[in-house]
Amino acid sequence: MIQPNNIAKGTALCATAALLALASASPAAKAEQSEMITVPSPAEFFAALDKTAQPDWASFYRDPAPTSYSSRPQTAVNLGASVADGYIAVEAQDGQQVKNTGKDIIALARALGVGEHVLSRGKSISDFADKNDWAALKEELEATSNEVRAAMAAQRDEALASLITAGAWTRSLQVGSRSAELSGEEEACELLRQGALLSYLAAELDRLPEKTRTTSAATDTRDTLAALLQTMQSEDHAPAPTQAAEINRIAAHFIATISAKPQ
Amino acid sequence: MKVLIVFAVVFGCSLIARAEEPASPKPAAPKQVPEESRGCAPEMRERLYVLAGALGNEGFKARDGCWGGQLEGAARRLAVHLFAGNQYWFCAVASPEESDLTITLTGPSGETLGAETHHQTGLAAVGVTARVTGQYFVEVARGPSGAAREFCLLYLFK
Repeated sequence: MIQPNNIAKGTALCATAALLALASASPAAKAEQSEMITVPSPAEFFAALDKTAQPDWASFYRDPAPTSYSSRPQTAVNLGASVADGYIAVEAQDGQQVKNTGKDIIALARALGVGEHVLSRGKSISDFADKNDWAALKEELEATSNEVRAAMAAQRDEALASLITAGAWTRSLQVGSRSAELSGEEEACELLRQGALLSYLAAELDRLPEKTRTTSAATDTRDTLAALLQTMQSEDHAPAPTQAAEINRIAAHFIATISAKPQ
Repeated sequence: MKVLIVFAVVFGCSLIARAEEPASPKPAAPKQVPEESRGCAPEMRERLYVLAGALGNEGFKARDGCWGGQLEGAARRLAVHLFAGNQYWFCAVASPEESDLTITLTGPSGETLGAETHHQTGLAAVGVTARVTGQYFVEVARGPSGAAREFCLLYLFK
């Protein structure tokens, strides 16, 4: 997928933002002038969290969620959340949990019609989990997510790729905010300063085709991002632990709702 | 400093290897190579992955995917979200390989960052430990010679 001005993205980590003249130096203007924006991987977020909050990652596991939904947008959001679960299991260095999550990811990818593209990734995830190769697993999870997105783009289903990213990030925020809240450390809360990132994710959802944008899964996701943004509205300082708790409440409610079968 | 030595050793060795064995350069690839990194020519990706593999030995993890494009006048700008406490390296290679480029990292408040930088023919890199979480900006531009036509960029973190 060649992006405007011959800037191209590597797989599906990033997307094109406004192509404007590069004149102003203010950070806000620079954001608008950037040709591309990269969305970080949950591994980056969790690596930073690990340094400050030292979370008990296994405590963030959730009950197994369904792997089939009647709506493709809902499936996409849950696929993203499952990818984030995979990173959590890797942080917990829990091979069996990684394998379980890998199976869920493949099942959800199949439901979206792109399972064949990532079957070999599922095998690799299982192999790396058996070998306790956590670094390779992080790379494999990111590659799996990117391949799903690329396959969907090839099927002209890019809209769902944005929902996968939003799902992964909301689940990551659920865990990150709880971890920050529990630690009470300012450095951990600092990691929740993600207003610009959430604004970008919300803008991506605003650009979805109407047919997808008006589904309940997409509107719920968009509303959740808006609520999270409201909580993070000050970029001048790190969120307080009380704000971390609120971020967790919003994200947890969303993940519980979106993963429930009837939608 | 250790990472700068890595740069020097890896690229010094790879240049020597190319000079001695032009027909079969065999760079030490990292464990996993993105299978689809559009916008970057395979030769440029290969040079980036040599570096990624070396930094991987220092504990850095490469993102899956690289970003490439043309260099025509104005700098190319990418917004990236960095997390406080993480260390990052942004590495770019130029084409043609003999050309030069610059890479600049700007923080959320507009300040130019980069505790560690590395420039070498065909390569530029900047390393930073993020002090605050937020949106940073990476700019890639032609170097003084003005000969660079394309770039390919990869970032790593730990």
